[in-house]
Amino acid sequence: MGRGARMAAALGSSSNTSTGARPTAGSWFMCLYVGPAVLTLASLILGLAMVGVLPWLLGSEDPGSRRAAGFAVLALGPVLSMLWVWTQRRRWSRIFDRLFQERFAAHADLLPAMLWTVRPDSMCDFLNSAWLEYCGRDMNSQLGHGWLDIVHPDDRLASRGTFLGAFELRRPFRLYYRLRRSDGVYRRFVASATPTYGSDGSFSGYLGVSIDIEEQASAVDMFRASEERYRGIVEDQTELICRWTPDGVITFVNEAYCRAFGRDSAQLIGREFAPLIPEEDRQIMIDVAARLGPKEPLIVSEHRVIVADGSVRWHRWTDRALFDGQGNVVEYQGVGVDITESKLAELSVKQANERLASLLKREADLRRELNHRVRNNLASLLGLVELYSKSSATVPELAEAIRGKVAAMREVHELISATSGGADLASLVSRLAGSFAKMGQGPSRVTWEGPTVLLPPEVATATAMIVQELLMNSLKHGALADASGQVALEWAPPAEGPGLSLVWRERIPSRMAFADLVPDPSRVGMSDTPPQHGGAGLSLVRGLASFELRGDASFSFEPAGLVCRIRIGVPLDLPQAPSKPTGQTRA
Amino acid sequence: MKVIDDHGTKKIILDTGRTVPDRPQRILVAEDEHLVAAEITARLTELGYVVVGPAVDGEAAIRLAHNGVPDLAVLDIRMPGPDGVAVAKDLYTTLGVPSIILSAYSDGPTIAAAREAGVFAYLIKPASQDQIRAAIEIAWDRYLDLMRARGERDELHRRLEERKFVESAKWILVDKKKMSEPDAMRALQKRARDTRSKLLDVCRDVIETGDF
Repeated sequence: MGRGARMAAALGSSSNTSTGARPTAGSWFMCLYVGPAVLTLASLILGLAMVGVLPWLLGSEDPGSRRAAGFAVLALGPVLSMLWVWTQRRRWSRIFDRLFQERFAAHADLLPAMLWTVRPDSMCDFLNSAWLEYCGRDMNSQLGHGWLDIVHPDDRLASRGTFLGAFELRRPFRLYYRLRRSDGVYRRFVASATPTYGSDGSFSGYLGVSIDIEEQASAVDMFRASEERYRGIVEDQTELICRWTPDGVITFVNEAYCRAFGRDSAQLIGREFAPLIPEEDRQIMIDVAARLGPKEPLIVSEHRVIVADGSVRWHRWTDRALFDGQGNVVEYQGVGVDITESKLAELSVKQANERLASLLKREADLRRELNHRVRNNLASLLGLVELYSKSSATVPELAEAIRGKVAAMREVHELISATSGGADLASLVSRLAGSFAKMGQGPSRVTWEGPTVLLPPEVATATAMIVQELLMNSLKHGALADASGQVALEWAPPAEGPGLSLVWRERIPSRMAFADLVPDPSRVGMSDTPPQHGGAGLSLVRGLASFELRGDASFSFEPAGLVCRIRIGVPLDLPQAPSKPTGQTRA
Repeated sequence: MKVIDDHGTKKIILDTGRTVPDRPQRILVAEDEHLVAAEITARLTELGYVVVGPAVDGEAAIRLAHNGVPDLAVLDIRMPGPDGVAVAKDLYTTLGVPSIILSAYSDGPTIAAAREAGVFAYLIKPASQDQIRAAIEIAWDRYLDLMRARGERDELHRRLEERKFVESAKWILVDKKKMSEPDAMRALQKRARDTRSKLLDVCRDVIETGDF
């Protein structure tokens, strides 16, 4: 089969119909159809004549031989027709072949691509003018395997191998090679070839086309070079760089990113970045992704990340949205830096500032409270002066009363300073009773007993002033003024309610003897009648018990001496199993 | 606000209906420290005031005030229960009693809280008798001024409302009876005189019935 037929097979039957060739359709019709018909008709007529008509006309002297000759003529007609058709078909095939070759060559020469055909024996039998013009050679030098001469020496072996390998398998093939131009410059081509088959299905070779892809290849090379440069730049960065899709899948990470997270790129690319961020900070990234868009293409955010060893570090990310031609976000790119150290320093400074602010506030509160205390104490002192100025007969007496209360306040202050929270009642009573002993007020005894109780500052101050007032009153007018007199102070939790109950009991043995003789002490004016000179003191005790201690005070002037019951209504911390500290002093 | 003479004593009837003396007489004291309370009580007594209390905490102060309404209150800030600021607010809101704060605190936030509660004076402990007297007098005058201003404001507001009423009735007559504006006004006044009614009642009747 010729190249024209292969082309016809390759290009389709339409090629056959486009033969506006020099042999006309009429001559082709005459040759292929009219000729055989005439031959067949002629043989039919001649055969019939020989079989029947001729013997009938001529008489039947030897009809058998003439009939046999007639049948022979009848059979000869189709044979001759077939022979005619066969010869004409060969003739016309050659004509069509030549026509196709001419038309194919004419069409192939019009193509900008380089077209070529190869025979089944792998020998090239046609190259269009584009090929010949490119290489500047003539057709004969390129036919057969001559085309390999313009293939780049480095590509020649591979090209030949691919070429021949495809021939064995008779499959389409594609070949990338460099071809030398007429000026000696090699350019890159891609050759695509497809096997061709004749109308009888026989393999007739290959039809191939070689397309100059130098421009595209150069563009690809430039792109690759650019990408390499980008990668080089990116890899050289100390900043972490990554890209991810809108659904949170990482598509690119640089070396710094891998180092920062302690993972290689294969462990990161194609995976979601969400697990790299602590759950409580993920909303930050969700918000960033939601905000990134044409209106806000760049957002800086700070959040924590989890690295490979599980430790948490701080990153600052500058995220940018990458858009397609329609303005849709196709990818995000983030450039990050590890700010753990600065963040920790910042947090440290913040904590230090908070501590400082707290200390300053505390200092201000303390100053405010101190101011309040000083002013309140001044107001209390004024109250004391007011209270005792009316009941004191002389200035020394007034001074003594006020000095005693100030001393009581001092004792409380010292105790509170020592314990930093409150004053132990037993210690307080001991100090107050001891101070009277130092004053040399004469021989008398004071005893006290009760569970360990720590009194809050306000309660301790009021209690101290009450006890001091009772001691002073007793020294002047009560049991301690008597040589045999005794005072007992007892305290215990109240039967009901919060706080504490205190009982101050004075005992003068000489009065007790007198009381035995007088069963009804009220008759001698000693039971319910408070002393005339104790008005201010009693008022102070009652007032302090009512105001500061949120309780009350009652007095009973019994024959044996004064009994004062004081109830502290302020809730106090009392031990579950109260100890019983006791003490006594010789005042 | 009216000033009346009650057996030789001037009294003022406030627009709220409360009757107060021209100078305060009964002063409520609330202070949780006995000696301070005693001192204030003594000072106020010396100044000629009748002391109500002293109340030992905020609840007691409110209770005492409701039992016998004082003219004015002198309150400590830090007290058990409601503090002095809360008590001052309560007394002014429910009883119309003005308050003076007497506190050892002098910091900005505390004073600001007292100002927002509407107290009329703020004294720092320990306050002298003169300071207390001056504070009480100024606080009382400011209180009366405020009551007076408030009364005038209410009166102006009432008159404005009445004026709107009269205007509405007048324009109904202008619209329906085709009267001129002065004629409509005269007609309303005449109707009030003839029926011995208040002009406001006549106007209300016109507005409600839509007829004259």
